[in-house]
Amino acid sequence: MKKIISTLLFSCFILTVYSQNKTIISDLDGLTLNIGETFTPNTYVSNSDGLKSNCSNIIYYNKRGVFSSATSISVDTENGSIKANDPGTHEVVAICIGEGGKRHSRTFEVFVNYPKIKKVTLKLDDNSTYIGNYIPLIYEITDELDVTRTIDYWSTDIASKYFSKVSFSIKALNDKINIDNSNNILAVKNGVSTIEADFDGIKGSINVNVLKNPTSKIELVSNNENAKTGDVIQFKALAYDKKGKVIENMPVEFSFTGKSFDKSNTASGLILQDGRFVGDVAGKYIISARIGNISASKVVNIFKRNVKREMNTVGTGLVNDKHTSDFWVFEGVDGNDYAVTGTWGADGTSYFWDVTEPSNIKKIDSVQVDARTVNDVKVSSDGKICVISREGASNRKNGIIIIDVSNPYDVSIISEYTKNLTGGVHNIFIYQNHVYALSNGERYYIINIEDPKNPYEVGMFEIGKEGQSIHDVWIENGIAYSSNWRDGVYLVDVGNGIVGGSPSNPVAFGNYSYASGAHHATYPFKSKSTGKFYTVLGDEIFPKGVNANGPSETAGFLHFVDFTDLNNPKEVARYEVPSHGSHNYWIEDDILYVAMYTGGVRVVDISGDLLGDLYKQDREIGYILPSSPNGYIPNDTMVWGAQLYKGHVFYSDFNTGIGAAKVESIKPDNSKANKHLD
Amino acid sequence: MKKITFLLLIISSISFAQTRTLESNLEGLVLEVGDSFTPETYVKNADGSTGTCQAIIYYNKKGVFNVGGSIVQDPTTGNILANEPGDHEVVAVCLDPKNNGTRFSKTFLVSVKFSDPESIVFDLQDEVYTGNYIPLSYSIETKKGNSIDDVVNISSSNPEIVSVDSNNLLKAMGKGKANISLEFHGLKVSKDIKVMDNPVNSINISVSKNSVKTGEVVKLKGILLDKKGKEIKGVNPTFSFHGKSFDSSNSASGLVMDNKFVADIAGLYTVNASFGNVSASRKIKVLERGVKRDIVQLDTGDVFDKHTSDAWFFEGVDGKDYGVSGTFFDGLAYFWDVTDPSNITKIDSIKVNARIVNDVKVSKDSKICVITKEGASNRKNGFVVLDISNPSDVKILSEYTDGLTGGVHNVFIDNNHVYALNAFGNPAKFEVVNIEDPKNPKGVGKFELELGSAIHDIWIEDGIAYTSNWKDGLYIIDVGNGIAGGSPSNPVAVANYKYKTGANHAAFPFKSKSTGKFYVILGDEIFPDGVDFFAANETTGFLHFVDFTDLKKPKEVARFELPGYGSHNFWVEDDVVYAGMYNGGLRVIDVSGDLLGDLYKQGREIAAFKTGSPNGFIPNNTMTWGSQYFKGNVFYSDFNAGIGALKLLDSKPDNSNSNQVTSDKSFDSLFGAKNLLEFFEILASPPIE
Repeated sequence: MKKIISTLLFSCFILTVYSQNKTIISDLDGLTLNIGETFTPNTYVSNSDGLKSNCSNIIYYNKRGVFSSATSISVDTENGSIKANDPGTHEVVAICIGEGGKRHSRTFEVFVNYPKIKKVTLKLDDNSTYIGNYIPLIYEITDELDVTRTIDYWSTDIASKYFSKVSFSIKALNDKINIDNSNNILAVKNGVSTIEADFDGIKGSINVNVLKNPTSKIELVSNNENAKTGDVIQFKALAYDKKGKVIENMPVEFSFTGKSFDKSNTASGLILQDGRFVGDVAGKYIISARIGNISASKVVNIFKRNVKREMNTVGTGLVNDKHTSDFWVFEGVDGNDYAVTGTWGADGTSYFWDVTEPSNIKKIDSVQVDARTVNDVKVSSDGKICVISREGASNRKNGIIIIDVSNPYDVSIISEYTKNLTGGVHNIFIYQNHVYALSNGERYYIINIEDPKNPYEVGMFEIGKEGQSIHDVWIENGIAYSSNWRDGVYLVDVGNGIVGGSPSNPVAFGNYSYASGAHHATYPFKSKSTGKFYTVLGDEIFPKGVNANGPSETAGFLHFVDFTDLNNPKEVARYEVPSHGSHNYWIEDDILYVAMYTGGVRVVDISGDLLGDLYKQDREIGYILPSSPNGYIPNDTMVWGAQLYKGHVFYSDFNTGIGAAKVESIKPDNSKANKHLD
Repeated sequence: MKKITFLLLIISSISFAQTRTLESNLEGLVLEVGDSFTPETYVKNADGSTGTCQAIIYYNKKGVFNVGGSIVQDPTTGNILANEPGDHEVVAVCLDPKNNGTRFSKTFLVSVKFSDPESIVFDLQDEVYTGNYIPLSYSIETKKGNSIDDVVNISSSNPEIVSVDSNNLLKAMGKGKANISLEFHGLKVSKDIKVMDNPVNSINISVSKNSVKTGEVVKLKGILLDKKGKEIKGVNPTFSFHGKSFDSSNSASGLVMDNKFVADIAGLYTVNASFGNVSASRKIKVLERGVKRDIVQLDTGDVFDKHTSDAWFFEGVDGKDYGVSGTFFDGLAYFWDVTDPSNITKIDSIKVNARIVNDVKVSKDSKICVITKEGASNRKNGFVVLDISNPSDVKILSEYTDGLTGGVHNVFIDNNHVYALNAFGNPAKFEVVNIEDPKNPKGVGKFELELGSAIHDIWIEDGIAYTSNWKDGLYIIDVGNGIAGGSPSNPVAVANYKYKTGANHAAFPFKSKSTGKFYVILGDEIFPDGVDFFAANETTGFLHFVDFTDLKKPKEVARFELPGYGSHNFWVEDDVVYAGMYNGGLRVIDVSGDLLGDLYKQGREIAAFKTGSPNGFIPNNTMTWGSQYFKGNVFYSDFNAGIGALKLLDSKPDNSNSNQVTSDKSFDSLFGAKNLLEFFEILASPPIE
């Protein structure tokens, strides 16, 4: 199954024909197993009329994140059985291949019992607290297999699931501490108490010292009293004792409430416990700081961000007989401006365009190679070399093609390179005379093209995990950022020197992954306005699959991970357009240009500190929804990528080809609202 | 989509004749609020000569709709009335006799100002406690009796007792007395205020539930206690919250309002109550709502050669189930047999002299259908009454046009009366027409709105009419319920609620089964870039949930907003909303329990379905017009595809297809595999070096 998670298409790997009137029924439904136990599922298809039909073949796999080579439950394809390896709830997909190769699939949740608990340890960051505070207890549970699980204070959802599978009770040994029916622990009286937790008869305990609150007054200050939606305000609370002396290092709890200026809207914002607050909706907000039973509050006004601008399409280069994939815009050696686009699920064609006048985009040449999909195209910074990727070649030799684009009106193939790349190349990057080419969705190879006629391999990088899968690679300042689905982003030194890396010796030094497992693209972003360094991690999700011949739904978003401290990356904000999914994007001068597939091209103000829900904060500057009644799929917006180039926002669209748009300086006009434009 | 006829009139009237211009004393006009003004407008030709207009219409170009009430024309006198301050664009439309009655227009900027301020009225407590913000409300009254909405200068005689911050907010800082004064354009008023020590020693905070799901409202209570533990009455704490999402890729989101808390995102939340410098807190665990379910399409009744408008589904006199749908632009209405929702069949059609049959409704006894007419070639629009006792053989019984020749956009049938909108007149109105004898309909009453108002839709339940009136919002009108002595011949307005977008387009009364509360759901309709009937359009706007439990104090408490998509028509049954969200498709929404805040973000959506078709009038362009829950199925009409039936299943949506190719047509693009098994073989084979 590992190979399947590879290079195909949008990163799609299995074919299904979805039929709504048939359901898969399986005894996997509600199944509970013990670790090490094997189980042979019984699965069949039920028609809407209640009739059973058999599957000519049934495939099972363990789904984790978006992709499917998780090992918590392993599958024996020979005899169709599954085996439980790790405790917890796991998703097992059953795919039934019915008559005529028709496929049905369904996901089942299988629970694998936790081993018996051997030891329970209770932990606190600080064993003393003040009256009126909740106690953030951490549970450390060690099982018979000597695996230790930590249930931290904030992971109540995980804790609830876990606690529901064991007999659990918690109590305080005296009345200094009060524990409610949801197991929240509140310090109520001065003195020492003991908390005791019992998991399946195994006990753990911890002493807590409840102190009287020395605070008699809090002074709450902020660096701003008025701000715009999305602006981060820093609050600071100073604690004073009875004598008016400042008490240092008091734990402060910040909270907020607000009222929207528009009564048809409601206040929305986010406050962090480091005192940072951001408002999403214009309104009046009250921020409170609390130490035990003492508090102070401060009112701030949040006004509209007002960054919306008119955005218009300037020109298009229509490709409507096949799907269009990635693109690249570049200045040619003659000083004119050009672009190259790939095609998808078709005949291996790439197109070259003259975009010197963005309002008059001209198709000027094309190259056809033996491939179904030319997923990625890149051009060297000197405008001389273009590299395109191949998937689905008829001779099963995929690899990359190196093209001389010094005259984009008459491009010529220089060489073909396939060593270690026969499984298909999904994405590539050119950096300092080297091509970084993904191989079979598992790793990337680094190929020297100083002599483009004779490329040769100098290095390789893989994360080295069972079932590893990689989707994209991007290089800036000698650092390669690879996007590895559920394993997240890897920062790899390929010449920067930060950890002594080079193209022939790539060295990983940073990583961040997240729960959805759909990490598909990365863009490094050094904020000009704050100096902070982020990696912007983009998802790619087709919740109901990809329909290559009709509209598809998309989901997923951009995760902003503050990587200023390389050893302590923190996910701080997201750009999520509800109902539309992220794909490829570009950042320049604290502005994000993002292709949101069905959501079009979006231009987003990402200046200043970033916190919370950037879309809701009205940071969007403008958008266009490219589509054409004559598109490959008519009227279906499906923007693949965006690139800011010489003041224009260029984009490629899956159904219409290439286009250029302009963000105007004027604000959008409402004069056409609800008017009939005959 | 309803304003069409009106807009057609306006748009088509603007032919810019460059050689002649309109001149008017509206140019540079400055009025005071409450003024009435007689405009004089004439045509100036290129050679300097002047001409008159056969007729001149003035209207205010404002907001979403050009019927803004800030400046209106009184049609009886022709005068302009200034109602609100600001710079307003007044459009003069001139009917030009010299050019076959064609029209041209010009926009003039008219400034409306308040008259001079006369007094400042303000409300401030006499006694407050330290540590609290002090509520202050004031109004600046003018000589003409209007209030000026502006900022006054506020100062405190003793900032250590009462401080004033940069946002003009007062806070009680310490024990003592202070004098607070307000100043505006030379007017000054002041008042003494006494600040006392905070008597609150502790707060006893309680929550109605400490483990809930997203969208579930928690009631908050804070009892303030003095040093002796005695309750202090007459003062209330301020509640605030913070939280942390369980998913580290998300962030906590919620709302505290009216002593209630609701969370949008699963996570661990803390609610704080504070008064002065005293506070207390409670934890609330919020889990995902988990209401998502599968929805499947049973069948469609395709209309691909024209647009489809409203539809209605009903049980016929023969006990079978039927549907009727209207169309744009050739005056057709279609009848459907939907007895088997998996096999929808077109059974009859009716063609009337109209461009648009926007609305269709059926009487309770299923014998009569009424369809609306707009754009009739003889300019007699009105409505047509049909005999549908045999829906396979529908017959026209009568036509009614009195007072409705300008076009009828929406109708409702209630108790043998047709309520028909004349939406674009000034004043806008609805006519009430008795159809006890459907061959001879008789006008029995009408309801007129204020000048400059517009009306878009009407819905009647329990003898109460709910009209949707764009910027004038919702009117609740007694037409027989008796609550205000109204009847069909004497409609009496009971209540009104309006809101900022000015786009109120539909209303649905909703008595919550789970809470007993009474809401009216108000839907917007907004096409931000206008409407192109032959291409895909953008839509925005949302559903406003207004708590009308107290008819005199309506309160907007919640909304269902689908970012990037606009609302249109909708239906509520058993605490579930079935909403036609135009390009957002058909959405099924759980509106059970108390409603507060952002319902979409709370994960209350049960299912979504895109109703567009690759063969649609505009291919692949979903444009769900409306929805009706009927006998366990969800019926809808789609502007580009006709009608259809959906079924909500018990099963939860499956994720097994995510990021997989689901189209069999793309088989050949997968490594050249001829079928799936070959595809797997290829994948399983070792790479060729």
